[in-house]
Amino acid sequence: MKKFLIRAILFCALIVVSLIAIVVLVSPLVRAKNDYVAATIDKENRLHSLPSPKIIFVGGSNLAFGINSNAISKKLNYPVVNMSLHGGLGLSYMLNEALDGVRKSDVVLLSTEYYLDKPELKLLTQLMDANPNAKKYIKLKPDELIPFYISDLQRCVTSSVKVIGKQFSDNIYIRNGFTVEGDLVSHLNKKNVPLVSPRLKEIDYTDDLQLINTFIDAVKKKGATVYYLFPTYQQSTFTLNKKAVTDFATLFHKNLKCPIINTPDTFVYNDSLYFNSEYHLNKQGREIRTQKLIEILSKNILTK
Amino acid sequence: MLFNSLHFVYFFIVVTTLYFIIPHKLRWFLLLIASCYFYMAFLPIYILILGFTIVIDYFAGIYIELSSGRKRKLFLICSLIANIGVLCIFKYYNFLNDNLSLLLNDLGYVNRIPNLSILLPIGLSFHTFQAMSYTIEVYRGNQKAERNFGIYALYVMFYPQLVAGPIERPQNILHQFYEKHKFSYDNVTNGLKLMTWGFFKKIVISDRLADLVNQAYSDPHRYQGFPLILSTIFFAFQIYCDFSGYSDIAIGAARVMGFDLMRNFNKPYSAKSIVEFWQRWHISLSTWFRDYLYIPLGGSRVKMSRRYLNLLITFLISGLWHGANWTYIIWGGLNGIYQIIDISTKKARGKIESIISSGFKPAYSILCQLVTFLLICTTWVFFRARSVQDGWYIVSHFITSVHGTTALYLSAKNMMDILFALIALFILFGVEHLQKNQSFVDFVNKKSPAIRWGFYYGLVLIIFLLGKFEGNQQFIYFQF
Repeated sequence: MKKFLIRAILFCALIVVSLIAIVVLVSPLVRAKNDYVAATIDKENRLHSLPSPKIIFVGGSNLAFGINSNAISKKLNYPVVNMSLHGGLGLSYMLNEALDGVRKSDVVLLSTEYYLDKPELKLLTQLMDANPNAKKYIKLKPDELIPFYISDLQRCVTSSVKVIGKQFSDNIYIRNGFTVEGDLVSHLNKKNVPLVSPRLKEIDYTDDLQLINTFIDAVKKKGATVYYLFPTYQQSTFTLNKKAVTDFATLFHKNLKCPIINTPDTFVYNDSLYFNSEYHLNKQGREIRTQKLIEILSKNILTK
Repeated sequence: MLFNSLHFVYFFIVVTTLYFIIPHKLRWFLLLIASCYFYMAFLPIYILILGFTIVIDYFAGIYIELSSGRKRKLFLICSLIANIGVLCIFKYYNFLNDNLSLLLNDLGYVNRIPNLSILLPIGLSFHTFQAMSYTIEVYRGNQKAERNFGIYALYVMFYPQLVAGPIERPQNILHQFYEKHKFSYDNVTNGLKLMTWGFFKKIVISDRLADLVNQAYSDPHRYQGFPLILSTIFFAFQIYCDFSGYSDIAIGAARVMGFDLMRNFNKPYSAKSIVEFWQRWHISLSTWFRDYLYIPLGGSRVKMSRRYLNLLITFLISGLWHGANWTYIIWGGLNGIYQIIDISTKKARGKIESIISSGFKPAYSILCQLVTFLLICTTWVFFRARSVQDGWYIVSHFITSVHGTTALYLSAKNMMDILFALIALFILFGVEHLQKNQSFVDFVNKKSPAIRWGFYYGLVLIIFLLGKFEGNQQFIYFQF
């Protein structure tokens, strides 16, 4: 048994040392300084430097790809910051990050996608690598810690496979693809990618609703307001998932502690107006949605 | 409890350590408690079902042994009815009732019998079959009835093979619970090697391919042509790595404690015919059906037409064993038909092989392997499809326009998964090719220490670097 234990301990130690070495040696070489998620650095800087009252957009990529914050700012005469980036970062991160910069009289416009789900650990490791400040907004459960560290390790491998990345990436997912307000614009002059409508998974939204309501309470406590907006959604996908979307809307109307200022079909547009996902509007779609959004905001809540 | 979870790692370390620390006479009790805990980690209440069949079969075994003539047969039938009854209620009741409703609807009647809202207990088909093999073997006089209730319960519940096999025979495993297993360096290391190989198959290959397969099979009507072909081939590898990976972990975990479980897979995709494939795939189930169904039906010692019918019945029931869905029955039926074609063309193929000059024999052999693999892939379509309609859609849209959906399937995100899975598959089949007729452990042990340790080191690193650890990836065969 002694022989086995000695060999097992030595082997495990060798594996642990090798894995740590990979992270320590490879990580700096593949640092995600200009990655999509690194845009959070610029967004956070803007969030904390803008005077109040300001409009803060919070959500997933439906907002990152699909609004013109500059036009909204000019029309409504409010400074705007678009904090949205990717639904896969998880609701908890999005809300914590935004809450940190909310000040008195600010208006928070929250628009999540319909697939509120657990955060993607791989994305979180990329985020933490690119923006160390993000750590304070991320709370991992104990059972997520080991998968998280393994994800971080694997990030080093995937980032190293540059050839594949270059060949298949359409390189719109970059930090400098954003405007100063935080809108992604690198996709605006690109051709649409063929899309097929995905079916929505059945998700229990109880925890998500609780998170959002806690966020709403905290925002109110700071003297600011929150409004919820249903996201933009490709027509064919909307039709395919109509029941699931209606159930989602009913649940949110019943349980959300803030006003909902549109309906699920408000921002549903023809498939030709979507770039590479059922949530990602192209140039034309983005402009149409922005005009509609300005109309809703100026009618309902924001007139200076 | 899933083998590919941290929970299992802790469980395995604690149970194995205790196993070697405590006295021999208490070990069966430790394993029984550990097995109960292992099973109850899924859904505690279902241990009662397991307990019910254990009690019935324990007494049935004793009474079969003590009685003679018709009484003996009666006790066997009681045991079989209890086991098959549990299967029927929990696995087939809703399926039968749904089909009855359809039939009655067609005849203009309404079926008022309600469906049951119950979950299928994990691994039900496996432990039920293992329990049945016990009473049948006692009835046949090949096994003495076990008098120690705890040991018998452990025979059904032994945690490494409780939820997905290998489906053991009492002659192979029961006596092992009485044997004193001392700590053996060879057993422990050989077991761990096999477990690592199993984790590699499951975490690196199967789980990485799972997302790609699910993408197409969860909504196949979105795709046509190449993505459907590719996802079907991926499923063939996924299910092999998932199930043989599970078996390796199970056999390895048992080996660490000194137990020998039967081999369940023997490089099935290297088979040159369907008959050979089934001698290499899920061996413990194939031999179960051979010994307890095919041979009692008359096996191959009957007229050719009757032999074909026996084969077809065996495979249809094997399909139904997997799941209460017409897709599984079609899967079984297709395999049965392929077997019949295989047997009936054996002579003709033998002649072709004898005509081919020796230089072309390797090419002919590869061609046979490829054809067998592709035929098996067509059966996997129905095994994986959610419905017969989906399965038919996939098969009928294999060769159609590929424009559009291929680009969608081969997105940048998927390319990384495909690349990693291909690297791992290359390693897997490379090792299997070099193994020849040896087991994985024997193959590795014959290498020089430098190569061996290099291989272990590389394998563990690959598991960490290329494995899929996000999400709760179940084993496919747990649902059966």
